[in-house]
Amino acid sequence: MLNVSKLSFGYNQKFRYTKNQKLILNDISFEVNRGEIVALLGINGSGKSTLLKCIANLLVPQYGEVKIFNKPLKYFDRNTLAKHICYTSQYSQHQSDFGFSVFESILLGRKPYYSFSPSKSDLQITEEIVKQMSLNHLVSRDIGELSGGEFQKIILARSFAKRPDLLLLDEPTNHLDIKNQFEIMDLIYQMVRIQNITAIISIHDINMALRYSDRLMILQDGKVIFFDRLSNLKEEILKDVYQVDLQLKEFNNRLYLLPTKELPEVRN
Amino acid sequence: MVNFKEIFNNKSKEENGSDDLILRQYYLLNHKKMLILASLIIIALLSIIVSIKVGSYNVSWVEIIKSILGHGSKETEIVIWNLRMPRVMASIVSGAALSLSGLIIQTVLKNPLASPSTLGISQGAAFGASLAIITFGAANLESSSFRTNDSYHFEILSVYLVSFFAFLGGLSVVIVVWGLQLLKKMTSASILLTGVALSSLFVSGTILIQYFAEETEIAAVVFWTFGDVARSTWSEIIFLSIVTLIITIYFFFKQGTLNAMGTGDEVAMNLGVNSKRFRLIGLILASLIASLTTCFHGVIAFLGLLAPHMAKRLVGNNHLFLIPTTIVIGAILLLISDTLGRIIISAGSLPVGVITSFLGAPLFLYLLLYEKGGSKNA
Repeated sequence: MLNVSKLSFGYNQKFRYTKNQKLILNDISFEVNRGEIVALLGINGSGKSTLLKCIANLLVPQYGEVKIFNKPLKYFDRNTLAKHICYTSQYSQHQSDFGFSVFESILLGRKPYYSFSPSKSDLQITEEIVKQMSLNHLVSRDIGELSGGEFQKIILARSFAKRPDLLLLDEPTNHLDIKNQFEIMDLIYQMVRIQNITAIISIHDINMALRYSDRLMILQDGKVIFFDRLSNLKEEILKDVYQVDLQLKEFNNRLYLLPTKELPEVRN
Repeated sequence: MVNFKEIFNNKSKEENGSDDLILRQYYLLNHKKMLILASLIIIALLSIIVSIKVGSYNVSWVEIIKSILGHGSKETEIVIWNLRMPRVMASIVSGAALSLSGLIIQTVLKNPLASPSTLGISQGAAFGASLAIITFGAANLESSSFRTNDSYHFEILSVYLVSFFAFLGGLSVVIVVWGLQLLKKMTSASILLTGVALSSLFVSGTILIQYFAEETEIAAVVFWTFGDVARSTWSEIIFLSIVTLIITIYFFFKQGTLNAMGTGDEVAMNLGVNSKRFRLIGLILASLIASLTTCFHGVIAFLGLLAPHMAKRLVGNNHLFLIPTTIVIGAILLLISDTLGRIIISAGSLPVGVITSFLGAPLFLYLLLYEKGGSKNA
């Protein structure tokens, strides 16, 4: 469904003294099938967000190509692409998000489908999403009044209201407590399965990645160093990427990561 | 507004499973907003009638209604149609134009403190108009007191010429802001600082060119420092109304896009909106109506800031309701300010720009203090 070939990207440094361009993404190729959940791992600055933005067509790569349904992104018009791909950035509430009711806010996800005002079916789809994600009690609230966890759910609901084929989430559980982290990830898991769509989720919590994803992709210095099923994941790879002592343990048929690093010595 | 929400929330807790409840809440909220808008329109109509009544020449209520319907005495008809009505219409159109302009600028720049006067668009337009008057000597034709029937042909020409230069002045501000945003990520604060720099530049420019002007031209230029709605003629008012109406309709049909723009560039692009292009279009059209208003009525400060904020408090950020509400509030505010200006000073009147500044400056400070995240959304 998604096909990335030989993708390279470096930020343009026109207004800097240094001329040499550092590549953030270096020759990346992979394929993702419909209905898969891929977790994207890597240390800060490894190019996770940049990769997601390139796939979402928010950044245009210098080399290589991104295709969905075997058609390069550049041949899609903006609106059609918006119907197929949904990208959600590391999002936090800010000023301009006030003044919309939760329902209006989710309804905004239907924007690519209407030009002036939402149709009856847009309203019905939004209503359906609200029910599926059990957000009924929030619909008339102002999104400015929501807690961080609730807000993240609304942003997700907006993404699912779009009924995309490919969902790109950049750290959806950022800044959330563990209860909300599980709620958000559960919702993503359920909705992706219900709508039968593909999701690529960039995430820092390796245990969340191990729990919810079908395949893991690990980025290091702009290159994909691992892209496979969880069963093929080795401790050494994670140790090498994160430079931390850790162990992978199996518990109830599920892999868990256990950091075994000692506390640092304190010398006076 | 809060009370309504609480009522809805309690209801939804009780009947959580019921099917059509979600949509019903949405419709209820929309109906409430329609109701607010309708009451504002009624207030606007009432203020129009009050504004026609108030003035040094006393006209009774019966006579007002008679002459509006065309059955009044000759004298009152002249007072109402030649003196009061143009002023009322000018207030309504300018108020609507400036507040719409302010709203669009706030939305496309995602900056709650932006408006035609805080960014310097009005000042730029005033400079452009002054430059045109002094360079082309249009003052004799432009200033209402010098108009004769002979000069009617030139008057129309000069109206367009001066408007065009005013637009260029306003446009230059917008281009600078837009260009800076392309080159560099601008925070809300730096956008406003750009506005401060540009408006003081244009204010000094306006003062500078006064040194090269003749006395009659200075008289025509000075009034731009403080806006006054009593200066324009019917032809100018109609011209301004048509342009404002067309641009209002355009933005009203783009309300979905404006809503998307309010959520930020990445989300907007993700919703199929070309945010860079739309920002430019929005800024150009907003500067066009703000410049034209300034050209005919001088710098009316803070109205473009005040009206959108009051409207947002009342109906929220959904532009489907926000655009009409902002326009109506803007019209009411300017109309009331102008009427106040006539009451405060019995002989003649206070320029309306003075009154809006007196109202607007404290609000600006209030917003700086209490508006959440004014500079956070960098």
